[in-house]
Amino acid sequence: MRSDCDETGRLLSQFLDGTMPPERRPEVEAHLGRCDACRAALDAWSRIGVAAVDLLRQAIPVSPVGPEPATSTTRRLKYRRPREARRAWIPLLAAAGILVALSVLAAVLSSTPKRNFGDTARPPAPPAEPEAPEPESPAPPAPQPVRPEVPRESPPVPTPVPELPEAPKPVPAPPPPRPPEPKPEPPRKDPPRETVAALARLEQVRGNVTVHGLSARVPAKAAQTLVAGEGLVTSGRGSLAVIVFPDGTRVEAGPDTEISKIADAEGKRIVLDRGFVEANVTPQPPGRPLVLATPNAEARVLGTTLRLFAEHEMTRLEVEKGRVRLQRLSDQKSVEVLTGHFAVAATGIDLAPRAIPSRPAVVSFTLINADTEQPIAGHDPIKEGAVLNLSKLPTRNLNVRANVTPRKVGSVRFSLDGVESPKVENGTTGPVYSLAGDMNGKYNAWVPAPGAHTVTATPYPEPDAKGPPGTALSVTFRVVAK
Amino acid sequence: MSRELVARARQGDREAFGELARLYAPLVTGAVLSRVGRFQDAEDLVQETFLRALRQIAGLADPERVGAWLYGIALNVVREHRRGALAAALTMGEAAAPAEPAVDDEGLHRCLEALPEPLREIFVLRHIQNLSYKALGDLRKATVTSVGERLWKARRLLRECLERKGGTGLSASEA
Repeated sequence: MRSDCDETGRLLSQFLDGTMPPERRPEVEAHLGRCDACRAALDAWSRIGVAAVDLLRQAIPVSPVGPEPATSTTRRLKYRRPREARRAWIPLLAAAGILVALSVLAAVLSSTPKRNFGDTARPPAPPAEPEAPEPESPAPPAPQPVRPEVPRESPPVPTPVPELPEAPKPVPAPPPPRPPEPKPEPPRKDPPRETVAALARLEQVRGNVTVHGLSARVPAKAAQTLVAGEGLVTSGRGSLAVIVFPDGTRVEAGPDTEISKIADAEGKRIVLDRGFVEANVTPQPPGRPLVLATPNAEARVLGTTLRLFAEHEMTRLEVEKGRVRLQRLSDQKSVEVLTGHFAVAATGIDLAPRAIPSRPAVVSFTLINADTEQPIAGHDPIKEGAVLNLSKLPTRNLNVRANVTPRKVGSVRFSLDGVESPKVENGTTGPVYSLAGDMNGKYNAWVPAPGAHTVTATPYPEPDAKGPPGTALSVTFRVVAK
Repeated sequence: MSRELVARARQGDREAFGELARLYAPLVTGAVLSRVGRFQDAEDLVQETFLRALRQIAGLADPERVGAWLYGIALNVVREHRRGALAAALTMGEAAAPAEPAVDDEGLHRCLEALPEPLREIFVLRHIQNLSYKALGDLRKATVTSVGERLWKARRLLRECLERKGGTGLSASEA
């Protein structure tokens, strides 16, 4: 078992650095579950890491690549804690800092311009530490080490906090002694910071949007850049995030959408776990298509305008302009979808492309868990003749969403068992239309009585069921409660 | 840098708090993961740790010890998770008291000094500069695999050293 622990130990070390291959996660997790020694090692390394970061950051001021050349010898390493004498390895660190500076500078100078996308790949690194009073023993002259923006090949450091609660209260007491505020920096003329991992930029953020890495999330901000491996989540009906790539490709993530990852290996890759994206893809290099991947399909794009809807078991692609190949992962069948057409990848639905109707149409229904606001696995879409067993569903608080094309229609009127709903769904808080409606953007709950039910949805081009009705759709299912 | 980020975060700067969390998330995650064993649970608890930290950061006495402070919160979150009291604590808005610092500075200094130079260099640069394996490899003319190996060895040796010295906090795992 020793070799198992060694191998796991290597992986756990990589995990702490954010470089553990995700595909190894199940195996590591299983090992951790049965190996006290590895859990103890991980704990110890973590504690050492915490202490080391604290300790080293006190000892060594870290500066970004600032206006001063990285090879400058005017800066000094300062040891800020009077109780501690300078350690023998600090000068070594300074020397290493020089190497880092030179190495990064060389890398930056030799990098191609298009890789330096976005000057603000991360929240800007803090300004250089101000010149503090000299320590007791002057340090030998040394340059500031360079802090690159993002590790190049590693996945992003797990990012924090998905949905931040209320803002922390302002601190009434005066803040700790702070150095003079750095003056606003003029546009930098120095070499750009190492932003090679920045793949895209958030052009617009609306509503509750978070950017997430491996384990946690941070609130998204407009102009923030996304690095390889990062993703985002939009929550709530009005939420929106617009991602722009350096080549002008624009991807709009609609409400309640989760993009688990963006990457650029053999071409851009956007992993859409759920929700909706609309993409305007500029022509991509030959052999490097942009791939939009959902849990059950992949769309390969060389340049087009498209819309993609992803739920657990259904992906709908609408091509406004251009040509996209959509592949259903369950059977590897694929189909080419041309301008003005759409196709649905889901079990039990013909993959063949169909013309996007000029009039609105309901194309499928999705059973929604009103508690979680998410589709219920196995019923997305709801199949004709489906059996909904209330004792096996995760909740009895249900709703039925009509999936329409185009994505936003004027309104949808529902009927249940032949009785028209008095309320018309206008989709005012977002293009979502459901049988039981919503309250302030949250699905209302519908607890169906046992027995057979037929839901019909009719779309209209105008609000309040006005205009010529579009293509309606009905589905009949049976509800059982045992 | 942490001190400045803490100062900004205390004044409500979410970006600064986010940067702090980016810096410390892997390490805090490691602390949590070693106790719960499942990534899925760990992710939830790390999030809870940072949520609490956000609420409580105004009370952080020593901004330079933000890592140890976060670590203490993480341990409390794990304890509550184990007791099944997390939900109740959340409802009541209970504040978690930071635990004692995990590792003694002096001991860590001594062990860093004792570390073979190539390992120490990689370890320090990784932690203070957050350099990627590739950047570290470029710097030291080593492969990415070799960098990973050195970091792993450095961590093992540091742990052994600290345990030998005793009284470093490493032997006292959570209650």
